[in-house]
Amino acid sequence: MPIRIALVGNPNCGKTTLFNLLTGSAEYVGNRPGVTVEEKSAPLKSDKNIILTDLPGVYSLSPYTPDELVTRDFLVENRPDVVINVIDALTITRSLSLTLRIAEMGVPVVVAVNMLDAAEKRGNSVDLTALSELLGCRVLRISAADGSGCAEIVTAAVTAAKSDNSPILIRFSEKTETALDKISLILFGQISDKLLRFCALNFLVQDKKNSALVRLNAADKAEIEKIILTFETSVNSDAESFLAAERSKIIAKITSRSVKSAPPTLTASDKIDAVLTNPLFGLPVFAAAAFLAFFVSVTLVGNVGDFLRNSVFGDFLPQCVENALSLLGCADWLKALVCDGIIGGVGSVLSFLPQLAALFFFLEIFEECGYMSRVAFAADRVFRKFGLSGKSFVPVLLGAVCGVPAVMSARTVRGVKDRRLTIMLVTFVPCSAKLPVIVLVADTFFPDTRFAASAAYLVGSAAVVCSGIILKKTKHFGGVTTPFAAELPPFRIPPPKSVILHTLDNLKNFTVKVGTLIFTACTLIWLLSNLGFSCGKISLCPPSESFLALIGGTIAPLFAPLGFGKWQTVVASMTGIAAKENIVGTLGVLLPDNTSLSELLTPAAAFSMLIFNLLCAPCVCAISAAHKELGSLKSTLAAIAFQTLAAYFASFVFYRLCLLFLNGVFDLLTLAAFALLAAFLFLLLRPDPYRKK
Amino acid sequence: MTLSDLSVGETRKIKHISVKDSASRYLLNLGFAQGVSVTLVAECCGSVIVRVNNSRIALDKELVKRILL
Repeated sequence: MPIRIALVGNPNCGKTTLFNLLTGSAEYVGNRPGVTVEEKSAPLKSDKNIILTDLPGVYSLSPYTPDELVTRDFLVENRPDVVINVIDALTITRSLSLTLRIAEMGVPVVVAVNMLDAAEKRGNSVDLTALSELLGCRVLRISAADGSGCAEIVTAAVTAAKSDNSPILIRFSEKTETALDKISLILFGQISDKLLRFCALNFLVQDKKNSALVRLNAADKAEIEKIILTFETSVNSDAESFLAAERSKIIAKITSRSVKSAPPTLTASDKIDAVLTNPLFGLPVFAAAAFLAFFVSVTLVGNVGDFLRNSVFGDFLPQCVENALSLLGCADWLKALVCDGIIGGVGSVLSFLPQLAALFFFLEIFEECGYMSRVAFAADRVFRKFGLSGKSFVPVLLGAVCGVPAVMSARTVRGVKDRRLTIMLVTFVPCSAKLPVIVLVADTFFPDTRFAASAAYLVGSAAVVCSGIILKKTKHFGGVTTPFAAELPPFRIPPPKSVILHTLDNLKNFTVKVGTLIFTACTLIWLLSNLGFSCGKISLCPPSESFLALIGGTIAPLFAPLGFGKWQTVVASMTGIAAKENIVGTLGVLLPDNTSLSELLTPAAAFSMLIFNLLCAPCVCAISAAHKELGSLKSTLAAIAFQTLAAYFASFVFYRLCLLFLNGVFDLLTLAAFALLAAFLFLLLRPDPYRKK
Repeated sequence: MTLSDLSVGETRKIKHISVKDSASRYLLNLGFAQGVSVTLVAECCGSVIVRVNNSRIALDKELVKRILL
């Protein structure tokens, strides 16, 4: 039986550095955008019989954030043999509260005090022997950065696991212990002994997640409620605040005997903070930084992407593969499927990799030097006005490149409602896959102005802001907004190695996601647009007779009020669901030779089509990413429905108003447009019925 | 008084925190608790950056109100 060790600690305490050091992996796990917040396991380099698991950094084990849930569920359900609790020596007081929580779970613990040298430089000191006695478990000094003490901590952990010493028993005050005993008595026999105290504590603070661990009958529930009520009256406070105060007293007692802290002074980092979060300089500095990152990623590096898209994936690779397939004697349809359908589709998404790499790289630098958390803080005031939180800022920025990492990075947004809202809205931001459509419409219909392209970004941003304001006033998203609180890491020069590692890791996640999904989608769309009924059987046919054309033709009348009810444009919009850059390609295939889009549509209709495609349901990749993050089919469908309806509404109103003002057309549909516009303005401007005073 | 009433660099002890929802719980997790010393690092329109137990925490207006000094 292998020994299973779990690493638990606050965010930023050096857990992952230790994990990589001990297992030799280059995995990255952290609370940063775009990276899955999941546990990762690997055997030790020195002993393959020991499995180490790295868990997301958490401050507590209460089930209120996704990372806390991952860590807590792992500890409860998988029950590692021992926990190495990694502590940053500088923030030892706060870290110990997590130590107490782990101990309450009844798992053997050893404590690894990391970065002690940095703390000592600032005049702090930790008496490890005293701490070890007070906590009742081994406490060792380690440095995850240079590896000292790391082998020893593993040995200590293995010893602790083998002895299965029930860890540190921290006793609360008499009143609390009595209440806990009473609850334990009810729970006894319904749950394993080791989890008894943990569960009793959770019941005392009415932790909702507890009901999943123990199913209590009504009588027991009522009994526990009575105990809680008696307890809360006797301490004259709610159980949670009281326990928090008790824990901090216990920790104060422990640290008073083992930790000496230098009096707080403002460091250089603090002084930079005073400038960067200053209302006058903060936002301009940030705007400049974001512009630089964005400019380099989208414009300069974007050219590399265009080269990949047009030359490598558009020309060179399909040619090579086609030749190879011809040599093998494959059928024509198979060649077309592989070359046009799969390489074209997957390749067009992969050609965003350079841009994404650049943007991830910049974001990683901002993050690693400690700037990103300040940006989130500064952006919070602005974003709050339309229902998003400061932490939605990174998703929105990523949204301008690709919806998939944007949706994935929404994980860092605290508060379920804010997170869901962010996921629903980020795909309104025109991603770079929508650029070709923007450019096509702008070049064909408005060649003399740069207005059309900028207008597209304006439409996207307006959609985010307006939808945010409207949805925040609904029952589903309304009510209390999650207040902003975040730890700001100290400023430092970003270590090149970790910046590069994390950038690669983010790219890998993106590629895997895209590679698996879009492959299927591209195949399906290709088949639909190249197969059709002819002479009563299914066979290859020109696109204009395909299933897709059939479907497009059937639903085209739906889009007539928007001005682009031609089957070609409708089918193009539909293939946009596979990948937005398909729209331009599909139009190229479907339009009869020697006709341009301008013969099919009026400028107003073309811009209406652009608006629709900017805002409607995102591509399948983004939808599936959203589905994974939202967690239920219902929410995903609701999100898609909302996006598509918003798109339909915006295009409809835009097109009808254009007809009225440009051509003087006034009919029932114009009236309908005015009615919808009025309804929109009402929803936008009405007072918030769910705002709490 | 609240955190935003401090002047930059000033340190005081927390008298009371009102815990009523998960946001306040998060405050506790971040190291705010009765009797803990906090130092104001920066203040901006009611939001603050403070130093607690050697870590720097940014809080918005809403949360500042819940911590009494």
